[in-house]
Amino acid sequence: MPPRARSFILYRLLAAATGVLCVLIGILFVVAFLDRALFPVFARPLFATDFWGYYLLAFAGAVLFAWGGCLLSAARAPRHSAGIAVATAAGLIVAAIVRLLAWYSGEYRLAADQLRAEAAVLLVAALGFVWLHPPRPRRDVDEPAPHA
Amino acid sequence: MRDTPAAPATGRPSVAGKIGVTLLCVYLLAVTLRIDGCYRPDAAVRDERPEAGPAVGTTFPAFELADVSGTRIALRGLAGKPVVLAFVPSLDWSPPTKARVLELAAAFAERRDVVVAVVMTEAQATPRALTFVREHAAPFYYLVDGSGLTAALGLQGEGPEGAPAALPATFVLDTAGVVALRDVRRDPRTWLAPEMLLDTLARRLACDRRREATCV
Repeated sequence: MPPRARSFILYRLLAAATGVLCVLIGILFVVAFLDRALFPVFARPLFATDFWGYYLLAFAGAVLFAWGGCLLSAARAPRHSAGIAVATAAGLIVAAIVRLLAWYSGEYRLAADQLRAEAAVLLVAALGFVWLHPPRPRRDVDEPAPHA
Repeated sequence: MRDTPAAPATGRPSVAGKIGVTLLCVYLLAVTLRIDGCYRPDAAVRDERPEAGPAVGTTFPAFELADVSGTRIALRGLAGKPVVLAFVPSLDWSPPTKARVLELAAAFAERRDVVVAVVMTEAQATPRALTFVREHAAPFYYLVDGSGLTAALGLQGEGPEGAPAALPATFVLDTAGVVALRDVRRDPRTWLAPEMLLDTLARRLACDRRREATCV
């Protein structure tokens, strides 16, 4: 298999896996909010936070859901969603920096190694998005697509 | 629309941008690996201010301080149990101190036979410090020194803007209030590992039991 085809497949796998993960976590956050605020299903709230924390979780869940959808779209048509790879890499790097700052803050001492491991995984995934995404066709960059 | 690897790709990737992002990621990965060098527990006892605070084998001076809820706590009221006194610079602006207190909380969470008291100066009992105390509900007394105990012991330093703050220090007192271990430092970025405190307490409690058996 030629290297370009291999990186193409790897990129699609990476985008699909990240997208599915984002969608699942997004659904979890929204369900946690609904469980806490409206329809108690679980014996206890899913996260140890207050009502404003759940409000922000629901918002983050909606954003993750949208992000996951974009990634799944990128996995389906990588050349026509090249910008998603760049945006995703930027988001993953920011998420890794947040984890390192959380480590340094001292407040997350008991989860310290977990934060470091998460940061490392996010950075490796960001490198994957940077190096594996295929170049976009010139038509997308320079001129509008012709109408059928 | 589905893409294939063979689709024409005439756009030129920005190699410089890729290399820049890669360098950033590699730097952050190195930080991830080495970040625990910023602050950490220390297995060895240090005494960087020998003149400050009572020496090992002497009785800790009596004190009575208010805890964060306003209740007055006296050292003599804690008699009968070993006491760990942790003087902390700040639970507001000092990340290593927060990490130290959380490690203490984890180590002593199940120890009902030991009293742990965290002491901070009144100037450092800020709203953010009190929020930290409330959110991390550790089984500790959080004592606010408004009576000059820290200064009288020689354990007072300076925080930001010159506000008085305690030096990072830990004292283990036996059931009679005698100092069994002292660890006084100038820099909060290292602290005595809780395992060392537990080890000292175990040896002191064993010693107390032997003494009782002898008495009987």
